[in-house]
Formats: sequence, structure tokens, C-alpha cells
Amino acid sequence: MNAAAVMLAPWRCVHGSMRWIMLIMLALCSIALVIALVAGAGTDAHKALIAVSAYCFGLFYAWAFWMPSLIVLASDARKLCVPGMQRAAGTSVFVYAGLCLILPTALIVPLGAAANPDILVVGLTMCAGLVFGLMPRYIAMLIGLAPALVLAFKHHMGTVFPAFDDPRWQLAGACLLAVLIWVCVYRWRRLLAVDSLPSGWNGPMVAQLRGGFSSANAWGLGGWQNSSSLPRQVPEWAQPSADLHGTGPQRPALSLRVLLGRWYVPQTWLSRLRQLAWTLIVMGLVGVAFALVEAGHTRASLSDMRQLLPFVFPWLAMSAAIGIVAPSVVGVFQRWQPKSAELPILALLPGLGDVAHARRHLLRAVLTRPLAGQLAILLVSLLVATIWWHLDTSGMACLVAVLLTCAGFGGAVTFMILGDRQPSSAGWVALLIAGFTLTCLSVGVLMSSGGTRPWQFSGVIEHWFVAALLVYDTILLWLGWRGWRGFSQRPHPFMTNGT
Amino acid sequence: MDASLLTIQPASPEPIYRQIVEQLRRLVVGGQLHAGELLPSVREVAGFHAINPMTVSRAYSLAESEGLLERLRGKGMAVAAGGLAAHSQSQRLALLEPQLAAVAQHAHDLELPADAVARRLHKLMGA
Amino acid sequence: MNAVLNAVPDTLATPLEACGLSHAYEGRPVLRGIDLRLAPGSVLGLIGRNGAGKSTLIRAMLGLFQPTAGEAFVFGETALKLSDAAKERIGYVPQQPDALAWLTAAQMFDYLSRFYPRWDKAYAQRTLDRWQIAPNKVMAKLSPGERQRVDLIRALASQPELIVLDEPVAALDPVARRELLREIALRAGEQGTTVLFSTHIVSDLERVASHIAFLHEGRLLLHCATDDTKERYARLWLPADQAVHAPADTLSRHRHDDGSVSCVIARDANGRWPEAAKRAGARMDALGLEDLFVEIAQ
Repeated sequence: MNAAAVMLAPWRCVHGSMRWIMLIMLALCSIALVIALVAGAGTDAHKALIAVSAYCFGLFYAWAFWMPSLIVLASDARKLCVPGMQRAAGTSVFVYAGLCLILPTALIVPLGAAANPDILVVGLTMCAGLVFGLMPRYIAMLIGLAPALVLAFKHHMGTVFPAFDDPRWQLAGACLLAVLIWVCVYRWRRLLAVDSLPSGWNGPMVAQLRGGFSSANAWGLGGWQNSSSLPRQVPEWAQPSADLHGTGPQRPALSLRVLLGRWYVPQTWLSRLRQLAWTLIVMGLVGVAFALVEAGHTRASLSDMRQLLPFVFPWLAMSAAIGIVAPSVVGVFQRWQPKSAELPILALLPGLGDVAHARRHLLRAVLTRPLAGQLAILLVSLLVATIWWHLDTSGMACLVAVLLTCAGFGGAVTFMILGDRQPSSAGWVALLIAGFTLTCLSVGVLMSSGGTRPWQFSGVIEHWFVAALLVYDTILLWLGWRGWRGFSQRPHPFMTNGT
Repeated sequence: MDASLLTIQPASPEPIYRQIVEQLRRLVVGGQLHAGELLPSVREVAGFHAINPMTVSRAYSLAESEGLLERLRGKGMAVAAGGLAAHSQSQRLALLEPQLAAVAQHAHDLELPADAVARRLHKLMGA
Repeated sequence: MNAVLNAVPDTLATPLEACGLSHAYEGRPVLRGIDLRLAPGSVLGLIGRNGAGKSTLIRAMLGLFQPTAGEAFVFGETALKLSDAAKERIGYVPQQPDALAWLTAAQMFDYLSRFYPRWDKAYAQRTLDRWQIAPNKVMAKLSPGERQRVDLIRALASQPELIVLDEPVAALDPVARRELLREIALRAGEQGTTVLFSTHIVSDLERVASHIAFLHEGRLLLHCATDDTKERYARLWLPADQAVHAPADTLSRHRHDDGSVSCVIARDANGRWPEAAKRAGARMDALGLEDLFVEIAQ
């Protein structure tokens, strides 16, 4: 085990695309640290605090997603019986921990003893990041909630954990650090003791980042380009189980849905309930986080719905809309890939009639459910907006426009895929980013315009926002029309794209 | 007779139907198959060896046309009556022809005199 | 005992035909003017090296995508616009067997049985039992070998008149492979089913195929009956001093380091070997199918 191996281990253990992002992030945060310390105003302790916060932001990111990849390297080295590399991976964690401490220590120690707790904060950040990356995924989800919890129980926590300004903080912080280090070492040892890293819910977060950002496995999307295995982010009990009652040549649209994918497949009632339960759990967690944050701010009781509604409702509506558009579009995309095995079955399935009939049945199968869902969301949102929220007309226009855009996005992308008239990668990225940004902005716009404290500029923003949506919608319409033309020109609707 | 009595070598340069005919001929002449004995059906042979039934069918037809087999109505293929006796020595010698030609070729390549080889063959045959 | 009399197909149309199929992908030609015709009841084995275009040819012949040029016909109908009646008679197993991962095997068979009128449920159930595949397990959780077997059962249970298999034995163990070949052979021989299967395992073809087609770099180099490949072709080796007399049209020709030449020669219409075979020092070897393939594909 030589020094070069130790130093290079983190560089080697992640995919190229990830390395650069991490490096840039870390560099920016270090620069922020230096700038804050050198040019910042205020007392030394204050400066140190701000500088360290900026630094810790990037540091947490790097230590949560980059350093834990060393466990993947170590695990592979163990399987390949290369003990030198395995030891190098372990050692480099310590070496780099030391290195990351050098910069802040060198800059902060001269400022005096009052700034020492900040170094402890750096250490805690690194450990927290490592814990986040190494522990099983459900714990990572819970850790994600921790900031919200902390904010909510700020005023209660003083009794348990000393506040930052308290001199006892150093002691408590050091104890916490020791505990975290012990947890990390224990988990590292445990992960190396088994044959291979557990995947799925029990596995470390980083086990799924093996391929880097651009690979099919990045960020938990779990091979979304093909669906021949179970999707990993949904647990097994929430997977759909099909209900084939009534399928057959006499109900072609229903039968086609069986072949279209997990989201489209007709399900038993029990299966639907299970999926609903899962959705509620996921949404519930995030909703709890929001509610906690809000309760922490205003110290209001959680049952005061009227206060919370402006914050929860737009977010709910957008999530529901995206939750309908995304799986349906992804399902169609997966089916029409070159390697898809369902397309040949579809192409050679008797009982669908001639080409014109087949096209009609396919469109009915693909579009009815998503559009019906979007319509339902629209109606419910309008209802809630008028009855409970008393949204003004421009706000309503915004809401309707955004929901219609979501539906339009789904329809346009479906036609683009079916008609094999897809834009280039750059075009896709632009389309997706624009759509996503507009949707997120819509939540902000609606949140600011509704409720008891509407923002004074919300009316103007809303007008601009609706204009932007109209531009986007026009683009979508054009793309969708091109796709429709391509779809009508294909000899039969079940041809693979890309050949 | 059982289908397992035949051995098929798909990789051999000799087509499978010809292998079957040769083996049937050898079995008949060698006495393992008696006159009038029923042969397994085309399906049985094809199923046992995982080969195309058309190949087996072709082999049987060829053997029938050479007088080795005959078709019995309602029962299938059987060894032609008067099997062994009808094969004169010259016909049986003809069966050995490929091996004799190969030995002659090898002897020629090794530049061995014919009578040395013949004496050795004599000894091996135990006469 | 003569197998062909059992079931005569009710149409004499060619089950599968390709006329001048050409296709290029990203500027690279994948198929170059392929003309291929299957006779009813024949078993055609399509061999080629990896990447020779076998899968592409099969998919083009079934109308699964539109080739750059040429046409394909299935049971006399244009492959790109097949009627329901034609589709009922086709069974296709693609190379990737991962269809319908969200259903169980039993569900997939139940679903497809509603579309194919001649679906044989008993056969499907029997074969699942014999191969010990759990019928009520979601197919995403089956192993790749099991999924390929399920796909094979799916194609065979619909009792098609035309079976098209793309590398069907890749994930099967030798016993299952033998069984599959037996099934194919018996169906072809007794029910007159036409079979097209592509593989690069040559020994399987020698057993079961009645015809062979060699696909090399997008071109059809050879298309003849299996028995012909052994009887009509041989390898001729000529020593260096006779090399100039090598016949002009051969399927392949190699020049060795010492000047000798070996080439693959064919009998002419009268069944006679070319003159060069009688030259002094010339040697002729019979060729197994694998050797023939290797010689031609180089």
C-alpha cells in the first residue's frame, strides 16, 4: 500500500462525471471559506461561523456522496482479493479527513479560542456526511428529515443538547463526534464482512451511484431505461399486481394497457390500495417535514389548517400532476426502446384489427388514463381554490395554466415517442429543465399569492408566469403535432424507434 | 429394434441420412437385425436423437429403394425378407471398401510395401 | 410413418420471404440486398458471426421495423401490414426474453391465450411443470434462463405454422437445448411447421435444420440444404506448384505461407468435381458444417 494509492483512491472510485462536479463544488466552497474569513465583516467568531457554514455546505455534499464510494471500492477490492487496495481505501478516508481539516484549521486557529468550535463543526459535518452515505437508505431518508425536526424543536432542544453559544457545546459536540466516528467504523467493517454490498433499502446510498450521473443507475432511478427488473425505489409490497379480468380482443384498449407497463397495467383493488398507501407514506413524510418547519416558525399548533393550506396545497397539486405525467411518459418511452421485448409481441398480436384500428386503440390505451387523471386534479384544484383558498382570478389562471401545461407535456411527449420524432439530447434536456423549472416556480408563485399574507408583487409575477407558460405550451403543441404526423405515417404503430 | 441402436454423429462430414442407411446395412449384414424385424417409427428415431423426421424418412426411403427394408402395410418398416443370404460375399466386401481404401492410402503415405500390410491384416483377422 | 401426410397446411403460400432487403444503421450497411425464401415445412438455420445482421434480418422479415430498401412477405402478405389471420400463425421469440416483467408466467399465458385461438393450455402447463418454473412468481424475479424458457413456451403454445427463433438456445443448458431441438424437429416433420432459427452454435443446426443460410457481413453467402453442404462442398488443397491451377469460382480461397492454396469447391451440375481436384498432389477433404462456416466466413 503506497502513498499514491491512498491519495488516488477517491479519484478512482467514482465515475468521471461525478468527480468534476464534486471537485468544483468543493473548490467553490473553499473559496467561499477563504473570502468570508478574509473579507467578511463582523466579529471573528461571527466571521468564522459564516465561513465554516459555507465550507460545510460543500463538505457535506462531498462527504455524503463522494467519500462513501470508497466503500464500494473497498468491497470490490475484497471480492477481487486485492487487500492492498482495500487498505488504501480505508486509509484514504482518514487521510482526506485530515486534509479537509487543514484549511479551516489553518485559517481559524489564528483567530483565537472562540473560533475552535467551528472546527468541531467541520468534523461533525464530515462524519454526518459519511453516515448519510454509508447507512441503509431508510436511515438516509430519516436523516433528510433531521433539519426539519431540528427547526421544529429548536426551543425544546436546549434542554437536551447545549446551544451553540454554550461553552458546554464543545464537550457535547466532541461526544457526538466520537459516537458518529464509531458508527462509521462499525458500518464500514460490517459492509466489508458480507459478500457483496446489499442493494435496495438496506444498502448504502452510494451503492447505486456506481455508474455516475449519466448512467442508468444514478440517483436511485434504478435502470429506468428498461423495466425488466423491479424498480428499486418502490418496495416489493407496493409493486402492482395485474388483473387480467376482461382483457381480450373484445376490449382492445384495456388489453393494450397490460402490455404498456407497470403504471398502465390494470390492477386489482388490493394492489391499488397498496400503491396508494405507499404514495401516502412518501408524501406524508415530506408533508410532515413541511409541517414541522412551519410549526417551528410560527409556533402555531399543527391543527391550524388554514395557515398551512397555501403552503401545502400547490405543492400537492403539482406533485400529483407530475406523479401522473412522469410514470406514464416513462412507460411509453421504455416500451418503444429498440431493446424492448413487448413491442414485437404487440406488433404480432392478432385481434387488434387493421392498422387504423390498432392506432386508435393504442391512443386510447395510452392517453385516456393520464388525461383523465389530469382532469380530475384540475377539477379538484379549482374546487379547493375557490372554496377554501379564495384565490383571485390571476392566481386561478396560473393554476389552470400550469395544470394544463402538465397535461400537454404528457401528451406531446407521448406523441413524440410514438411518432419517432424525438428531439436531440440537448433538446430533451432543455424541454425537461424548462418544464420542471416552470412547475417549481408555479408552486412558489401560487404559494406567494394565496393565503393570508399575499406578496405584493404576486399579481405582476403571475402575469409574466402565465406568459412564459404560453410560450412553452406553443412549443409543446408544435412538437406534439410533429409527433402526431409521424405517428400517422408509420406503417404500423408498434415499430421500434431508433433503427 | 430400438432407436438407441443407431448412433448419429451430426458433426461428421457424412450426412445424417447416409449414416443411418450405412448403420442399418451394417446391422442387417452383421446379423443383429433379422429378416422381418420391425424398425422403430420415424417419429421414435427422430425424437430419440433430436433430428429432423424428414431425414429419417429419407434414410428409410433410400434403404427401401436399395432393397434393405420393406414397407409392411399398417405396421411400418421392416427388414426385407431374405436379408443375410442375399448378401453375397462381394456385397459384404463392398461394405468394407471405405476402410480398405483408407488403409491403402495410409500405407501409401507411409511408403509401406503391400505384402507387409497384407500379412499384418492376415494375422489380425486370426486366419 | 411418413410424417408429412399428417397435416398439410391449408395454404401453399411461402411462409416467409425476403426480396432485396437492405438496411443501413448510422451509415453502416447492416443488410445488403438479401433474397431469401423458406419452403413450407422446412427448418432453416441462419448462421453468422456475431454482428452479421441475423437479428436485424429476422426482424425485418417479420415487419418489426421498416428497412431502408426491399420488402418482406409473410404468408404472402406484406410484412409491414399483416392481417390478423397471418399474425395468428406466427410465433416469434426475440433475443432478449424480458417481456412483460410485471406479470407472472401464468398470467402471461392466460392473457395471450385469449388472443391466439389455437393456444394449447395443457402443453403450456405441462412444459412449465417439466422445466420446474414457478408459474405464480412475477417474471421480473425469474432467472434469465427461466425467462427464456417461458418465452419459448409462449411461442410454441400458440401452435403457430411459422416459428421464428432468434438465438433460442443461448441461455439453455444442454438438456433443455436438446429438448427444444426435439420439439422443433417433431413439429416441423409432423405438423409441417416452418421454422427459422438463428444461432452461432453449429452443431444444433446439423441435427435439426433441413436448410442452412450463411449470413456474413450483411450478405447471404450460402443457402442450401443441410445435406448438400456435406455432399456438394469439399475443401481442396493444392501444393504450391499447382496453385495456379486452382479453380476460378470458389466459395473461399486461402493462400498459405508456403504458397499452397486451399479453397472450398463445389460439385457442378453433373455432380463432378472441378478439374483441379485430379491434379497431382491435390488433396480433397470433406467438410463438416462448422469447418465450412469457418472457411467461408474468413
